[in-house]
Amino acid sequence: MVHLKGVIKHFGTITALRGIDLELKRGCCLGIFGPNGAGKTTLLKILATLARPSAGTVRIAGYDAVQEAEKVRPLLGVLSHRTFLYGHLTAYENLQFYGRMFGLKKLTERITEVLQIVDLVAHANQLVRTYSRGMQQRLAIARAILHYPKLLLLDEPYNGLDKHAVKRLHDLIVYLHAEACTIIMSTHDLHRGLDICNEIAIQCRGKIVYRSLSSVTDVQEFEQLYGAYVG
Amino acid sequence: MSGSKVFLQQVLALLAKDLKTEWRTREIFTSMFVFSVLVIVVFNFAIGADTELIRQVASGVIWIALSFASVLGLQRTGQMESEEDSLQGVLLALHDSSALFIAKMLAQVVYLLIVGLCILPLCGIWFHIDFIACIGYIGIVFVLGILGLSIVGTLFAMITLHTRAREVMLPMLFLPVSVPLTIASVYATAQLIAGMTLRDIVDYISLIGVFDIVFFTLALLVFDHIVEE
Repeated sequence: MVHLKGVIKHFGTITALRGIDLELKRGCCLGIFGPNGAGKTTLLKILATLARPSAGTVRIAGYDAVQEAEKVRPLLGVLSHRTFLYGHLTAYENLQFYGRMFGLKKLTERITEVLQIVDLVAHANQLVRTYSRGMQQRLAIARAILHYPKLLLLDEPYNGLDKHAVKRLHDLIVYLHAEACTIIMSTHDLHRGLDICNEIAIQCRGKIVYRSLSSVTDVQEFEQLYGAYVG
Repeated sequence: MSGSKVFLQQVLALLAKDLKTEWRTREIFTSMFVFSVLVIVVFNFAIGADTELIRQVASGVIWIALSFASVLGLQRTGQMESEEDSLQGVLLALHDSSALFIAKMLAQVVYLLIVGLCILPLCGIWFHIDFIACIGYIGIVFVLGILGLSIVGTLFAMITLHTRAREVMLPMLFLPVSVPLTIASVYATAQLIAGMTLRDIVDYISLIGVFDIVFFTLALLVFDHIVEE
């Protein structure tokens, strides 16, 4: 599903990624852990076709993510630090807008379905700017899964969520994973990441320095490994 | 769905979103209209009671007001897309980024046309000009001129969207580049006010038309690279 080879990204004189190699099969859930500045967001942006690698190749579902970005984009669901939502539109109107952009059929039913998943049906006609941060994040999740993505890219998805929303997101990721959706998630939360992902990786100073199946790693051992790599 | 149908659907979705937001907030129209009126009022006081002089400079005042109001509208439109990084969400859904350019440009055309329609009667009253006599021809000049301002403005608004000094960079790039268009529009409008017909200003109309086509083509060619991070 995802194939990265020798991916390098420079921002002027700063090198954010220093040769990332990554392969991920369909239906996998990969958790990427790493400190601030490790290049996790840059990596996810390149996967999301929102940034071009300075060198290396990125293939998603067999398509070149740089040359064939228009074929890759409909396959992606992206949850970023920002919500990609419009504050002066209601939740329903935001989802309707994105649904039309993706050319979804039976849009009304699909919007109701995703609003139910994130528990925002009662607030569907409320302007998004009146939402709390947690509600906005939940609506951003609804936006990200609206068009049935095959690859879900989650950048610190638990940020700004209350306990109830964290539980809902957790359940949603488990559900999508069971539906054979491939998921790549960056997070600082080692416990939650280990719990939800079946593969884990540590990214540090622009490189993936450790990768393993989560089933063969217990939390304490992983914490020690993380500490050793990250310092 | 065919490529052109998807393209059209995305243009309409983007345009409807922008117009719905503006209908709800009226932020862009209010700032553009108030600013245009202020420009006209200031010029009116500066020129004084010389009716002949006012008639001579009226077209210049109108196009200056529209050019500067355009900057305000473009800045607000850009700000709307950069709040919560919505532009990135849009880019993820686009098949062809030209759809975004065309939708933004059309929205700007709508805003400027409404502002133009509102300030024209005010100019008629303050500058003692009978626009009704030549409203059809002035309409053609307005549509073509505003289209050009919107094409160049949208292009530079997107270029400056992620720059640090966006408020300064946009007018610095947009206003000098649109000078040929503004000059042609000012002369065309002035001659229509002076009682000439469309045949008399065909050179200016051609210049405006060529400007629009050249910059529209250029924008479509480079827009993909502009919106890319």
